[in-house]
Amino acid sequence: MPYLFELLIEPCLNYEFMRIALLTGLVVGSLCSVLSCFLLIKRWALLGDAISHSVLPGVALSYLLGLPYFVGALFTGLLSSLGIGYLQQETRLKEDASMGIVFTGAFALGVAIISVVRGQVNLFDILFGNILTVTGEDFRLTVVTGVLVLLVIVVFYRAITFWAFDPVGAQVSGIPVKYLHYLMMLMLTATIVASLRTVGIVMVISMLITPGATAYLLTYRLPSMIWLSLFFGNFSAVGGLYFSYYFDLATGAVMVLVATFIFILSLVFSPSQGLIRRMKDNFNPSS
Amino acid sequence: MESAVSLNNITVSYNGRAAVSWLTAEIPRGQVTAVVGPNGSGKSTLLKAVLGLLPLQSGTVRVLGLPFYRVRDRVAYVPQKEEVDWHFPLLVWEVVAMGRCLPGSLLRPLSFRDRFLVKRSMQYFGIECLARRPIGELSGGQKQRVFLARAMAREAELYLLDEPFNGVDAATEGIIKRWMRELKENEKTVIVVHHKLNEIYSDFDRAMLLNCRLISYGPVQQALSSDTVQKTYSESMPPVFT
Repeated sequence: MPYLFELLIEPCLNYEFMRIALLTGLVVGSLCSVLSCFLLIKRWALLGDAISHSVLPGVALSYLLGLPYFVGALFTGLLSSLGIGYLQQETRLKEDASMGIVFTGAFALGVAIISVVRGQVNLFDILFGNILTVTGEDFRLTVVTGVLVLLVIVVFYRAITFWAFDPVGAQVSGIPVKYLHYLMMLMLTATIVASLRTVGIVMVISMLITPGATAYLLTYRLPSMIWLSLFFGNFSAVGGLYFSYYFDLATGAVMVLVATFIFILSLVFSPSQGLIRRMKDNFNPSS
Repeated sequence: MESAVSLNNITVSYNGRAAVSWLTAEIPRGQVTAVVGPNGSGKSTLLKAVLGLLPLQSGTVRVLGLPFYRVRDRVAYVPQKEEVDWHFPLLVWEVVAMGRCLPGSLLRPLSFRDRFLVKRSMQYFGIECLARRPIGELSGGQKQRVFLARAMAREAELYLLDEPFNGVDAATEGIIKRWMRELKENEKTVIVVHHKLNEIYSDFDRAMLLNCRLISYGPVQQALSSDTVQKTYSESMPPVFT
């Protein structure tokens, strides 16, 4: 036991970057996992995918223009979420096609810009993140975003739940569904931008889907789903960080792998929906 | 006193075709009105137009004498139970409590009175024993009761029910009818969208027969004649534009 304790504490005592990385991992883990529950029940999981890819041209442009990266990222992220909403509502295209068109277009634009400014931007770091290079400024940005998003979710909890469950009923009841829709999109984009340095824009998709989905298999209640998701998200973030530190692996990828591993565990062992339970039910149809 | 719902020459389009055309009617307060017609006759479209969910191509709608957005807290709506995802991670009482989401009280937690109303509505519909059950485990009739209890908890003046008798058991049907009678005794207004004709005589005061336009409307005995019924149900359907 003391050995395990040393294993966990030592890197943080010795290295400043490890302390920042751990704290950022906790904030990003919490933020993404809480939001993932709402994305899952609202069936917006793929919107997270689309927006995170659309952030790339913004990051590239910011480097070109010498702006802080989150300004451009937020801008193109919001622009594409509005574009998806427009295509979906004003044309015959459905959500899936609208998202596919917008995010691949934006992503391609980002890659094209980065191929021009090669050398100044590390594409690999943007795509997969590098939590070990997170600066104090990045950390403050993440914390501010995290606190704001979680605050909004707490304040609007009842309205968001009603809207996600029964959008028509919510609108009739007087919940301003349109504003809520844009507010959620804004929060999603902000979360993706805040997680960019840590897990990268490809891996953040996983952090925005997997913890919530894992928890969804284990419980029937939204509050317990959120708490479970929080635990899984943070465990994946911190576990992934230590794994990558000791085995010298890409941090974002290991975080995602840990999250996926937990998901597989809950898929197999979930008391109500797990594979084991299903096999038992199949063998014994009378129960 | 002004009507519960007053429709003045309204036309509503749905998916590019006029689902309801030039409809004028006054639905009085304190009565139970059935809106009847075959599938695709514009019943649900009409309901959605009254609730401000679809834009009007022409005409005006007044609910309790005012535009709908000013009377949201005095109206309760029961959607078809197929319209939501019942695998949502919620408990029965949490759905019923959504009825207490009123425009002025969205951000505060449930009050003591809210909780009392939620409990009373669940008791009325016989689902208080299911209060802490996940909604995914309910039967069709129980799901309908949850939605009805949610509407009851709202303490509205006007109740709009979309196909409440669809896919429910006899016991649930009995409770719905009892509730409609009680609402009428308490001078509330009930409007029910309904596709079956056989029960209209005993349970409703007024009937509106609809097939994209108003076929007939008035007290049940007058509105329903073999002639109007035939017109409503046998007329060829208008072409569907896509």
